[in-house]
Amino acid sequence: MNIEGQTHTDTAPLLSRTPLLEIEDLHVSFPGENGRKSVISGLTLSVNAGEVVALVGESGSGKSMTALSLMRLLPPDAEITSGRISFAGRDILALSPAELDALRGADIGMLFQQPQAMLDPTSRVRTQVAEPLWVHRKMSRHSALGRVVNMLRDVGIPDPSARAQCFAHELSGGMAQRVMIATALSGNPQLLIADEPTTALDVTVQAQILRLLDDERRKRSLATLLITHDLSVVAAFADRIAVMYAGRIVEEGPTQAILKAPQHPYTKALISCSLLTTDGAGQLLSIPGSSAHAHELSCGCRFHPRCAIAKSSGMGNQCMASEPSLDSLPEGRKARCWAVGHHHDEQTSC
Amino acid sequence: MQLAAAMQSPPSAGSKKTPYVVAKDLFKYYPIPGLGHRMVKSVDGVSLTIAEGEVLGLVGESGCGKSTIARLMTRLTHATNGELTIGEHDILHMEGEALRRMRRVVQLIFQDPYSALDPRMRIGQSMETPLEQHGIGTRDERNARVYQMLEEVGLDGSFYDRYPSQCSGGQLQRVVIGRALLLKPSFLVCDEPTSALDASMRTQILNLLMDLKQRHGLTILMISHDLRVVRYLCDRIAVMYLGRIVEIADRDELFRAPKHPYTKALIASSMLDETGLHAPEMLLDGDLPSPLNPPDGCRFHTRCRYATDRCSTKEPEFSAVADEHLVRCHHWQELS
Repeated sequence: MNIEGQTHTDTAPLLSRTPLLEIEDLHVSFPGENGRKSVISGLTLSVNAGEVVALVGESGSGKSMTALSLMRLLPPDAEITSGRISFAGRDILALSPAELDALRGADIGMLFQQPQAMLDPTSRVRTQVAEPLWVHRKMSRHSALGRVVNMLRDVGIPDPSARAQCFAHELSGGMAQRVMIATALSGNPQLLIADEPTTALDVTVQAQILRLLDDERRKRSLATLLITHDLSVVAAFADRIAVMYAGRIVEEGPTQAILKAPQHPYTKALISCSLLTTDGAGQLLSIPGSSAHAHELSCGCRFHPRCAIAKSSGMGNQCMASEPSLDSLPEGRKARCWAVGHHHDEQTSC
Repeated sequence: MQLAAAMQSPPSAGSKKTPYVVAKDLFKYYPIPGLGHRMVKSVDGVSLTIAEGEVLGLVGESGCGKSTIARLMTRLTHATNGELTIGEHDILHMEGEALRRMRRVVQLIFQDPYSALDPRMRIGQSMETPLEQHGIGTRDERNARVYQMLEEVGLDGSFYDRYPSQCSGGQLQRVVIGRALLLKPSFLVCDEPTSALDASMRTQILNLLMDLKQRHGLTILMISHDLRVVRYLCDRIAVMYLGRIVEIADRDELFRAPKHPYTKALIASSMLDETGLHAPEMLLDGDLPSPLNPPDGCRFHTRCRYATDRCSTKEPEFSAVADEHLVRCHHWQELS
């Protein structure tokens, strides 16, 4: 980020650069057969007020675990072994259960991949949408319920007064996601965590939901952490991208810059995969192998077994021997790769 | 991200024009218990043909009936009405032993590889069972064929003894494809074979399918809601809406000059880019209406921005845009 270029009069961009959410060196692990199995290893990421940051990666890369850590909703056997998460100046990892309850749904809203599974099947839509209002905003039940119809109309639900009486199973996937959005926004949060919000939906509905999320975040200057494996969703919606591989961020920077000129070989490969780009022989470009055992690599870059550059450029030994650090590049970008402008002094050899 | 620019021609070169799969006026209505005579009109008069060695894409939103077509073609369900022949076989009226033999000819690849394999059976066993069921080969021969197939789908012999929980989604989808091909089918129905997979796994599986198609001379019905996938793989594409095909054309023709407003909207929403999101005139509003009670007239008129009175009263028939390009819309000429 170009801090030098700023003057004192330039207050608006300064304001938007205040980090709302800061994750520093987060480590999360699960108990495994041979000691603890790490799922997030040293993740550092920040989301500024009003900014949309996309966390992109394959399944198993740790992106959903990151979202759950933020809300302190990790499965009971998962453990945050080290790191710091601060939200609006508060240390999330130090909050008591009561303080967490006050935070979730009020200051931080959350959307999930399968809206129908996340809505309560036994209560009506209106109760679920209104609940944050009386729990967090101390409204009376009567006036909270009175606002539901308007809130449903705001998220584009046709015939909102009838829909308010429905149960989750009576809604289509797109409708249920709209209800989730209304619920997540009803507490008027500063940060929305959206974990694959459109993956389970049809393409036509995906576009509608993305448009709605985009409108809402502009209206409310809502910061959003978007978790997805679909780069076309990212391209349409995010300001900044962080690409995750095997529990680490491998590349980070402004969306357009990364999509146009990706630096890390994994990002490059991921983009060709999403575009279904073909090579000269008409074969789709793909990433060989899988990331299934990448967490267990004891040394070297975690991507090197699948990396074309590590194989072809004669850098293989270095890629295998030590892991590159996440180095800063121009234009506020960062990349973790030996083939991209790296500093030897920071390397941790093994 | 400009998806359109990245498209290259696919490796398709099948022998053309001999219809291998012929479906004529297929109907499938599901009765709803407790609702009297009301029916879900899942497939409501679908006719299509697939030539030998051709890949036909079938696209549409969830609930439009595309998976029901897969189930009809594999005889996992009975048709309410219609005709369906695959090769020489009259699929809909087969019974008993003939039906069992037919299953070797037509195989289905499922969307979710995790639920398509028994979690308590080793991969090798899962793959061998269909061979055993059809009485193919001796035990040793079957065994050898499974090992050979594991290699062919890009896995190795060590997978034989693994359980599904020890494999990734992409690996399991390879197993599912291998299991289907062990019976040497000539017609493969793929029902969203990549939508449960990541982008990187998706391209691996699509490459594998194309490779196997060429090697085994397969005819494929590829069902997907992802136009990018269909565009890469298919020779022809049929677009389905609420139980009916609304447009069918050659792949390049369909993407170059889509005629039906629904096809246009589908293409627009799958080619999302940073500008596409803000081009709402191309996008659809609302959801698919209920197939329990499809709208009168053109089924798409409730979501179509060009709909007129005529659209809400009279359902359009197919009109021929070009030789192989059919569209079911009253106004396609004015709209293009």
